[in-house]
Formats: sequence, structure tokens, C-alpha cells
Amino acid sequence: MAEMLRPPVGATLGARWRHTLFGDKPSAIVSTVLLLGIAWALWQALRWGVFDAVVRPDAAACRGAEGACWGVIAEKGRLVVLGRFPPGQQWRPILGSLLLLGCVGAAAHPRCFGKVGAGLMLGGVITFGVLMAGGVLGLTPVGTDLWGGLPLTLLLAVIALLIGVPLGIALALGRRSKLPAVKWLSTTYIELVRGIPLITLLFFGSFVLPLLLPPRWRMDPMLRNGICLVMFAAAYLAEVFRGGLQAVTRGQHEAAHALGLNKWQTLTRVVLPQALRITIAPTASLFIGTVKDTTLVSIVNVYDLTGTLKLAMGDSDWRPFSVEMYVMVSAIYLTIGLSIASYGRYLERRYALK
Amino acid sequence: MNPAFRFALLSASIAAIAALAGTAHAGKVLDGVKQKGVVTCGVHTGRAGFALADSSGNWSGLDVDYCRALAAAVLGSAEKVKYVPTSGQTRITALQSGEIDVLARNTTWTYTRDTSLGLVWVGVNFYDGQAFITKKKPGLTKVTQLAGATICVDSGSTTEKNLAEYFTGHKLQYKGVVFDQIEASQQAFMSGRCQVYTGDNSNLAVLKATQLKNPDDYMILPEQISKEPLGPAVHRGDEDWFAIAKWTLNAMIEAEELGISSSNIDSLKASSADPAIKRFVGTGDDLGKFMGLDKEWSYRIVKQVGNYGESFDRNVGANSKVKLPRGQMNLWTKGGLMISPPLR
Amino acid sequence: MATVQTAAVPALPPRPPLNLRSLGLQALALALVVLLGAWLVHNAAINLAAQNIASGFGFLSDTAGFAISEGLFPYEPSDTYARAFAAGVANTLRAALPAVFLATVLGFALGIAQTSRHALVRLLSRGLVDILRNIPLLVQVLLWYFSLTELLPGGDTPLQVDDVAFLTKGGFSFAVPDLTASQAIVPLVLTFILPWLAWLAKPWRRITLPVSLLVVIGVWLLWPDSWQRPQVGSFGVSGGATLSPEWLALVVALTLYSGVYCAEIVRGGLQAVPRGQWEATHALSLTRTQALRRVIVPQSLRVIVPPYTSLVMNTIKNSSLAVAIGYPDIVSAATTALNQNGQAIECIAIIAAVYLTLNLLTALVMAIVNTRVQLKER
Repeated sequence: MAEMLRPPVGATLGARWRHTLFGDKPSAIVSTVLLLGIAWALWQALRWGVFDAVVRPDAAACRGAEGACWGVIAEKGRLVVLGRFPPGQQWRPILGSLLLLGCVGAAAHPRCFGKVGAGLMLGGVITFGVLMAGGVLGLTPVGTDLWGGLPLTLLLAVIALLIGVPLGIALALGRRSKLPAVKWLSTTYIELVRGIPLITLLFFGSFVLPLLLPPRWRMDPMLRNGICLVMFAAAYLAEVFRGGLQAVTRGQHEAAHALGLNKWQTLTRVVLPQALRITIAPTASLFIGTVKDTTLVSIVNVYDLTGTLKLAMGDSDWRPFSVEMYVMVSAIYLTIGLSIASYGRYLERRYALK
Repeated sequence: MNPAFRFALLSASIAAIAALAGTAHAGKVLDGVKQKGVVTCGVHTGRAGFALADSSGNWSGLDVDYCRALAAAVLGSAEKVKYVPTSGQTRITALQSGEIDVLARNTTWTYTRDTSLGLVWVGVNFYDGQAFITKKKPGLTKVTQLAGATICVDSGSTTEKNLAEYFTGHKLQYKGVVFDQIEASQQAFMSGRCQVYTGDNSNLAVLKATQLKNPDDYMILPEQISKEPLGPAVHRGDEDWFAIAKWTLNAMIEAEELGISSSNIDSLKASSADPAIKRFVGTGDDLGKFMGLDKEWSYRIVKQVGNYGESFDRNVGANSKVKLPRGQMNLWTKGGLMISPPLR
Repeated sequence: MATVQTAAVPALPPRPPLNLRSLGLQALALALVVLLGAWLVHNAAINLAAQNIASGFGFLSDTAGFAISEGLFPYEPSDTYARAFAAGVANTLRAALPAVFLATVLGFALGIAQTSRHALVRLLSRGLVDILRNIPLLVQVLLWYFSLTELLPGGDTPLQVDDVAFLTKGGFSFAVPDLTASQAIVPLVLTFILPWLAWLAKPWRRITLPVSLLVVIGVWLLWPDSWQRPQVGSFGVSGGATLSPEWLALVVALTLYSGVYCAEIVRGGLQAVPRGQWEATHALSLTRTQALRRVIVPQSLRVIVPPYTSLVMNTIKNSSLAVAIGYPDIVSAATTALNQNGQAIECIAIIAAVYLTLNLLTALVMAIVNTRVQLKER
């Protein structure tokens, strides 16, 4: 006997959810177990994080309490987020970060793509650098060893990508070039840098680079790490862009040639826009990766957000409550990552082929 | 021009410009210091008593005092110092590359370091030894009783090598956990990951006095397994700078032996007839000219920083939180090891 | 004899003139690179001579002088640098390979969960993937290390299961059989022979495989006369085999981090299988498990393997974060050696060579796997 068709699902949201979760027996069991589990986890989290928590920056009270110690954020939050910047001058990294974020946000708007966007980003980075370093316009000079925290993470990430993207495009073009020497050089560089961990590159910058420069030359440690991050980002971006360039069909090149466009015009007006459109998703993922890679500079004694976190947790009074600090820092990174991911999805939707 | 090549050229020039961003220093360290107007001093990232920055960024400590003395002698003011915090791993390369002018960072003077790394030590400003700190246990007095323990140690230091040699020599086992940052190894000890922490005796005393939550639960074993003479170092090859660095340290020791301190130096300058004191405070023969300095170089050291005894008491001795005894750091006339060749 | 009439060979087109411009540009590019390289080498030679640092790899036969706290084979501080580096490489593999294996398992589980019919399962796995992908690996490693060393009990009051397994700040210690090499031959042989025989018996595989595994486990448990059991001593738990908290933190963090990336790869692979295949399985009334196991996953492997190769390579490279928590892998060993003898160029070159070799080996192995999962087209 033929099986009876099930009645159609109701149109309301509630009916649809009820059908999805409790439609048939196995689903119902799984749903019940999961919902109970989620409820229990939420209850424990609320109890730890809200009800039993201590908000006052009082280490003794925190040790006595059972819940979270959010007071550690009040106590150590400034050190973690702004680093060891001199206390009286901390308005400078704050202002600089806001300006930089503003410029990045403005440059990210599709209407500012191109020269305007590049100029905005460059301007933002330079303003940030001037504000942090000081020495001009009456600002007291602050050495790069005192830069730290979230502003430093932002600066390193933005510079790594600002220089890394053009360099990556150059390397991708070089790898696809018909000139054997250029192709060989690009391929060697890309494969070499992609084959070693970033930490090796940073140690190379710290230990080997001083040996490779003439005696008495001094390269600022921040510059060394910046160069390593740029080199690393460029190699990975090159591979992604190469995939995009490969996907642009020969016909496009031939049509541009037929229209009398020279090589540079073909590249900038025909090939690159199409290639970049295809690679939006992996590029966004690499951008997030670069932000995460900046955490590795904390291993070579640069106090970025992770480095200041370790520094703040050195205080033995507050060390048992490091988990709360880690939660806050993870939340910051999560926000950055999710923002970049959603921006990538926005770009994908905007530039999707109709 | 082939766009690929154009891009390659652009990136090559960016790399070249970035590489050129270091400042080239032709010539000697002294000229460089005078030109920049600061002495670049490599110090510890943060060790109470030797080099520690407070929340306003002011540095203090025994090594910091040496840097200030050097700046006072060469540039006239003890404030003209740029402090560069270095880790155990980067301190040697920082001095080798010329990034810093002098390394005053509890660095042990050993044969290998003095000969094979391109550095040279100017003297000893602290006689230390490697010791062990652990939780108090009844009957625990000797290092050999630590067999089988998990021991935290910092990498890049003589501590690691001494530990390995001691235990291998006594045919004992231990589980060593090595960290590249001192904060990490101390935190691992404080959290209980390791039961024992080893380091220089001064380091352990500072740790016990300032950072442990319950200092009375811990003990530093009285036995020291090595001798660690700590002192400043400079780059090998610049004899003039080496002489200035060496005699700055000696001047501080000599001042204490002559009885000159920052509080009485002005009255001694005005009234003393002792030729040795007169040479020291700048009213006698000009000794500074042999090193390229003026005749008040030693006066400024003691006036602005103090003699060795004052520096010791203020940072690690009776007037500090650490309260180490003078012990071997006392003058040779009082049973210690600190002696300076005569300033004449 | 018939003569073969060959057609007239058409004249070859004239050779294109040498493209002097491209040749010149290439020569210029090469010359720039060579000049840069020569300048760097020249500076290095000056610096090394001025600092009295030796050159070359002769130091590999010198005494290392530093301890490595854990490893696969015995190592004393009086051994050579070469042995120290070998121990470091062994430790790198000891952390990376289990992480790769566990990450693959986790990745497949999460990837398949993301295509589940059940909305909650999909939501939870999606949420887990999004959160873990965006937190930097270093932060995750530090968090796990902190949790293990701060929140676990000290050596005096361990969490224990009888005297077989102990969990303390010092790690996870468990009893191991006390076997010499000759005594271990029989169990080892059985471990490989029995499952292989069970595999060969194809019709009864479903029964023989589990039985053979149980027999192998039984042999390992019952064969040894004595066991090295961990004990609580004056300095915590000693004896037996120990998984240090450094290893545990590194492997757990790597597993979670690589696992969620693997989940994304698996999800992509599963979505690449044409919808028609799912419909065919419904037409054949296969259960979802059967459909996945026999139809969908084998076809998705073709899409999964290339990005999976990069994932494995990235996991091996990410294991270098061990230096942040004091796990003695090759990076840690080489930087310690670097600090002791100053030969930075050689030591960094060794690290780079190790990772490039591991990459190459991974690529070779995965290339074989790749050819195996390709569609067998006519």
C-alpha cells in the first residue's frame, strides 16, 4: 500500500521550527538532548559570568567569589588594550586607532575603490605612525618598544595588507609571466616563504637580518617584524590572486588586445577587476589570517594584544583570573574576524555576476 | 615595459628603501653617542633591583645606575639614556649588531662569551651564583635531594647549561621545562607546573620578595652550584669606548673606597686636600682627557648617581625591598671582592 | 620496390628575432637579485668575522649542553647538537601527527554535521566553526596551557584512576608495559598480522575486524609481566609514560583549530557532490549513513584532498607555536642552540630545511592519495 503523504508544513515560523526539530522520532530525541544541553550550558555560563561574578577590581573579593572576576578587566584592561604607552599620552594611540579604522572603513566602501581608497589608507597609516611616534608637532617622542596592544595589532595588520596586496599581485603576475627568469624568481620566493612557518620568518628577522646588514646599521625591531609579516602575507596572497588570474579566460585578453589596450590597461581595466572579484572569499579569509598572524610577534618580544595579555597576567595577584582576560581578548579578535568575514560576504553579493 | 617587470622593480625598490631605513653609523661608538646625545643601554625587560620601569616609564636598578653613570660621564647628564629592554635571547645579538652601545643586563662573564661572541666585559658589578627555589619541605637542604623534580629554567642563559652539567655530573635525573621568556618560566613555577625554579640567587631573591603570594612557603636552597659574575659588556673592537665603560664602573667602586658619596662630594670638592680625592672630583690632575672626556667625568658620576655602595643599598641592599646582604659585593677592604685599580 | 612519395616538406617559418627586450629585462632582474645576494653575503662575512662566530655546520658534532624535557628517544645534555635537533624534529612530529589525525576525525564529524537535516545540529556546528576559526591559534594554545597548568591539581593531590592514570599539572601520566625490545616482538607482530588477516576475510569483515582489535588489545594488556606505574613521589608524579601539559595544550589547540578548517573543507566537498547522487540514494532507499559512507563521501574526497593537503602542511607549520609554551620542538631546540653558539644563519637554515622537507613529504604522500581518489573515467 502506498504510503500516505504527510500533510504540508504550516506557514508560520513556529510551525516550521516545530516540524524541523520534532518532525520525527530521532529528530525529536536529538533536539531534546541538544536543547537540554544548551540550556544547561547557558545556565552555567550565566551563573559563572553574571550571577556569581565580581565586577569590582578587588583581587581578594575575586578569590573569594565562585564566579567570574570581571574586575580584572577594570584593573588590567587598559594595560592589555593600550600596552605600555606612557599614561599621559594614551590619547594618541586611541585617536590614531579611531582615525585608522575610519580611513579603512571609508576605503572599504566600493565608491572609494581605487586611487581614493589607497590614498585614504596611506594617509590613515601615516597619521597613525606620526601620532604614535611623536617627535613632531609638539608631541613627545615615544619609542617603538613602548607601542603595544590593540593599536599595534591594527597597525601591523593594516601595513601587512596594504603592502602585501600589491606585492602579492606582483608576485602572482611574475609567476604567470612568460619570462623564465621572472617566473623562476617569483615561484622560488612564493614556495620558500609558504613552506616555512611564520615564526621561523620572525626569528630570521630577529637573528639573521642583523647579520646580513652592514655593521652599525640599526633597523628598528618593529620594522623588521613588519617586513616579515608583509613577506608572509604577500606569498599567500600571491597564490590566491594567481588562482583568480588563471580563471580569467584567454578571450578577455584577446578582446582587450583587439580593442587596442596596452598591457598595463588590460591589466588594470579588464583582467584584475575580474580576477579580484572571483577571489573575494579566499582573500577575506587571508585578511582574517593576517590579523591572527600578528599575534605571533608576541613571541619575539613585541607587545601586541597577545603580548600585553601575557604581560598583564604576570601579576601574581591577578593571574588566577586570566580566563576572563582571555575571553575579552578572544572577543576582540572574534569581532575583527567576523567583521571582515561579513564585509567579504557583502562584497561578494555586490559584485556577484547577475 | 612589461607590467610584470614593472611590478617587480617597484617591489624591489620598496624592499631596498625599507632596508635602508636603518641609520648608518660610520665611526666609533663614542662619536655615535655624542652625535645622538644618548647612551643606548640594553637592560632587562623588568627585574626588580636591576632594571625595572615603573608605570610612568622611569627606570631604576643597579644596572640602570651603571647606564646613568656612563651617560653622566660621557654626556654630562645621567638622564641622557635610552633604555632598550632585551630578552635573554636577544641581548647578545642586540649588542653584536650595534643596536645598543652597552649591555647592562645581569649577563654572566664567561670565557666563551668573552671570546667567541665579539663582546668584551668591562668588569663585575654583581657576584651571583646559581641557586634553586622550591616550596619548603622538612629535611630539604641540598640540591642533590632535588633529583626527579620538574625544574623550570630560562633559555638562552648559562643557567640551563649549568643545570644540565650539575645533574649529569652527579648522575641524577630531572625534568627540565625550558621557556624562552622569563615571565613564562616564573609563571609556570608560581602556578605549580614545576616544583623547582632555578636562576641567579639575586633573581630568586627578587622573585621571593616581590612576586610570590606566600613567600614564607618557599625557600631558596643555600647551596649555589655555580659562580655567576655579572657585569656590563660592550662590543669588541672599540678600545676607547671599552676604556670609558670600564673606568666608569671602576670610578664608582673607587669612590666608595675613597669615602666619596653623592652627599659629601661637594663639601669634599670644596675642602679636601687629599690628592686622590682632588683628582677624583676634578680639581686635581686632569685624568679625563686620556679617554676623550673632560676632567669632571668622575665627579658627575658620583654627584648624579652615587658610589657603588649607595647604588647597591638603594636597589638591592638594605634600603630596597630585596634586602640582599653586601656579602661578596663589599669592598676588598671590608672582606668583599669589589676592588678598582687606582685612579692615577 | 614501390617508392614512397613523400609530400614536399613545407618550409619552416623564419625564426622569430631574439626578443632583446625580454632578454634584457630578465638579465636585469637576475642581476639585481644576484647583486643583492652578494651584498648580503658580504655583510654577513664581515659581521661573522668581527664577532668571531664560526661558520658552517661543524657545530653539529659538538656537545649540546641543554636538556630536552620530553621526547621519543633518550637524549642527554651531553649528546651532540645533531642528536638534539633530531629529538626536536621527533617532538614536532609527535605533536603534529596526532593533531592531524584527530583534526581529520573532528573535521569530518563537524563537516557532516553541517549538512545534517537537523537545524540545531547545523547551527551548533556552524557556530563552533565560526568561533574557533576567528580566535588566533596562539591565544587558543596559551588559554589551554594556562587552564592545564593553573586549574589542574598539583603533584601532591592528583586526579587519579587507581594507580593506572594520573592527571596533574605535570601532565597525564599512565602505566605502560615494561617490555624490552625482544619481549615486545610477539605483541608487535600480532598487532600488525591479526587485523590484516581480518581484513582479508572479506565476507566476514564486519565481525572479524572488531574481534581482532579486541584480541590485540587483550594481548597488549596481558602479555607484559610487569608494568611501569606512575607513583606520587616527593616531587609530584613520576614513572610511567607522561604526556606533558605542553604537549596536551598544543595538541588540543591544534586539533580544534585545524579541525574546524577541515570541517569547512569537508563541507565544501560534500556540497560539491551533485544533488542527483543524493536523490539516487533516496531512490534506492539507503539510510543517510549508508548514503554518506558508500556514495557521497567517496565522491567528495576528490574535492577534499587538495585543500586537505594544505591543511596538513599548515598544521605541521602551526606546531611551531610550541616555542611559546615551552614544548621542545625543532624551533625551540634550534633557537637554544643559536643562543649558545651564535650561529644564527645555520640554525635558522636548519629549521627552514626541516619544514620544507616535511612539506615536500606531505605533498608526495597526498599526491598518491589524490590519484587514488580521482574519478576513474574511461
